[in-house]
Amino acid sequence: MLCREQAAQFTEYADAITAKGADLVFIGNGESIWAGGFRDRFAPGQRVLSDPKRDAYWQLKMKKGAKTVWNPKTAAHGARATSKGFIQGRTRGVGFQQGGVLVMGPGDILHYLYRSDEAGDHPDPDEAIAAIPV
Amino acid sequence: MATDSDGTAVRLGDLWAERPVVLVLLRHYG
Repeated sequence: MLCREQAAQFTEYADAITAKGADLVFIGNGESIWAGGFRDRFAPGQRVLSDPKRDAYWQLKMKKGAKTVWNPKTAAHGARATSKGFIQGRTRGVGFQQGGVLVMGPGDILHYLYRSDEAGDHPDPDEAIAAIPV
Repeated sequence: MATDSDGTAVRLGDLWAERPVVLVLLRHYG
């Protein structure tokens, strides 16, 4: 549910990201056979990659563990997502792995990195867009 | 290394080689 909310939220900003000369790409940690269906429902028209070995998550030191899911903040995030109409589907990937957002490039230059502290801790897309180099 | 939705392998560094990318790492597809 929370990953659905985040995908839909950033997809709303896809035109703004493109207007600044950047691409928007999603990565999930489920298998690639699930990526297409997820994309069509929650990130239509966007590129959704799969990283089931979680190499990118490890390299970027994204947070993980049961406490990142079972905590009061995530309960509040869940209520927020539910109020927007998002419902929980089957976990297709590693539920205890958190994600984040980065702005990279051109070249190996990191402009922005946000690591989610807990499930549902998502950065404001405007922060990421502001970090895109002009 | 990640894979595209059609199973094609993608080197992440290629995503930002030529232009910036906003990369959103989701939790899972649930």
